[in-house]
Amino acid sequence: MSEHEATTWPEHLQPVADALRERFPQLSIELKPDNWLEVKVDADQSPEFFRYIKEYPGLAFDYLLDVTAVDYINEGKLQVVYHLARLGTDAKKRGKLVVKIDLPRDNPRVRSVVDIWPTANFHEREVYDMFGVVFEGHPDLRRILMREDWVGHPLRKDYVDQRPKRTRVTR
Amino acid sequence: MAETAVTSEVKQDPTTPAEHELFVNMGPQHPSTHGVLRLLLRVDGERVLSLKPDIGYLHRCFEKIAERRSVQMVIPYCDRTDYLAAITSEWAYVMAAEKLMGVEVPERAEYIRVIVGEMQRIASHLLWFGTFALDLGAVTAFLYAFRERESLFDIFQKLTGARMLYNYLRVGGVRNDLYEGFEEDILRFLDLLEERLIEYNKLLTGNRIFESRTKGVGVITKEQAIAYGASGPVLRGCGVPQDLRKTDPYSVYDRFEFNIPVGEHGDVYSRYVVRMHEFYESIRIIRQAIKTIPGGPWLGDVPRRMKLVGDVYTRVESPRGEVGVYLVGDGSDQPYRCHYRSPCFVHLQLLEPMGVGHLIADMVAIIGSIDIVMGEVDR
Repeated sequence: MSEHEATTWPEHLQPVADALRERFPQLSIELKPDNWLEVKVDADQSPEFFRYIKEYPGLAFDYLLDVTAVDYINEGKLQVVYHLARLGTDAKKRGKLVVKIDLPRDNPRVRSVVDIWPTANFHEREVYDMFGVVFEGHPDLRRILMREDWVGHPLRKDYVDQRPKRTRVTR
Repeated sequence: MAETAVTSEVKQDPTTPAEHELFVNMGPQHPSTHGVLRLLLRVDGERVLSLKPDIGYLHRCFEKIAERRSVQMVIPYCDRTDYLAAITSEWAYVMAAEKLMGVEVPERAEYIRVIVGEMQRIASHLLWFGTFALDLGAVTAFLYAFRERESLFDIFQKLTGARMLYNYLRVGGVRNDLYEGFEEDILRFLDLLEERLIEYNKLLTGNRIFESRTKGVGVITKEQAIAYGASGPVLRGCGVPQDLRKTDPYSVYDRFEFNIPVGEHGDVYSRYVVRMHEFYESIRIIRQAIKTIPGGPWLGDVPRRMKLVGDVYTRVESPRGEVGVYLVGDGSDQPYRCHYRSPCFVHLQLLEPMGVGHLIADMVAIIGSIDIVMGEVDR
């Protein structure tokens, strides 16, 4: 979790990194290829963090691209990944942000961001459906792709199909 | 983990007398929902009071399957997500794999990808045009659009072997080079298309019935579109000049001159106009690419043992909006996690703000204007 002080940051990303570090000094910020800034946030810090990046005028990340999750079963964690961007045609506004939140696998709960970016509604429902992450404050957290009565969270690495085996019908 | 009970009910509106309300299912089998989409409508007569989309009928476990396939084997599955724009679906995934493997794509392959990608955009918009008009009752347009698609399919079949689901892009380039005579074929098709587009515009644009069914219907504001994560023609129809080919250019799109058509009012008509203009922009791009395509290999140096390390999110402008692929590798030749960000999945959330207060017939126009493909919504 080191901060790359010595890396030369592109001109339009430096103010973003500065604004983030000023407000959250302990944050781990990394520069990734293609102008992505990767930030690792704690689950309890996340509501404050998301509100800040949306509302602080110097950051104003108004466009949530995607909310997804990865099951790192060998490290015992579920990682929720948010991809954000800013709209605008001038190069200064082209920063892109990746936010990663690590959650424990046995009770993964994180605050929902639907009240900040309404587009998160369906994305968070999908992450709940596929991984079992509970988004606190989501207005309608229920399965979206699987059937309503499905048991289990399919994209987890230890998912086992729990449907009863059907007897084979032969001619 | 709290398993919530079946809560597919849409709540009752206290201001409407209960006996006037009706719960109606639009779909999943419906000629105008463009696939297996189920909309739970609460209507008062014909007027929609509230709406909830119910999806998952075409869920084929793409993301789970991708975790058990090698890098190259996932490509045909990508085709089948957005099956009407297979090239752009493959492109997002293939770009992600190339970034994780550090593979460089030769220039000729990039130009071929652009040409084929824009051909795909034309094919997808032709189908959208035909089915959109068909939903509104203009049956002729459907047949004309599909006639043009057949010409494109002939070119695709000669080039890739398949009419619709190509499996053509590879990590590091494309599967094979352009065939002898490709340039004549495509230029002949573009000339034909330009003539036909004049006919199509005569059929629909400016037609009073069409305009009264689409103008002022399904309006969203710019702020709503951005807040709901809209992209592609849905976002551009509201006046936001956002096109990934210009704002976050990938491949060799920064070498071509083209404009981004932008609508004005955020209604169904604006989205229609944006897509009609995109035909012309795609034609421009293909003509420029054909003229300036360099020689050279069509597949770069790809290591025999493919190893995916790290994670990346790549974005591509598909005919429907921004397609994203979040690919995570663990050092093996199989993706550890392959997530497909589908633009139509996000646009479905916009159906409620767009549709409430309109008639059921308007819902048909609204769904058509979003250009939904359930294959990519459900994966």
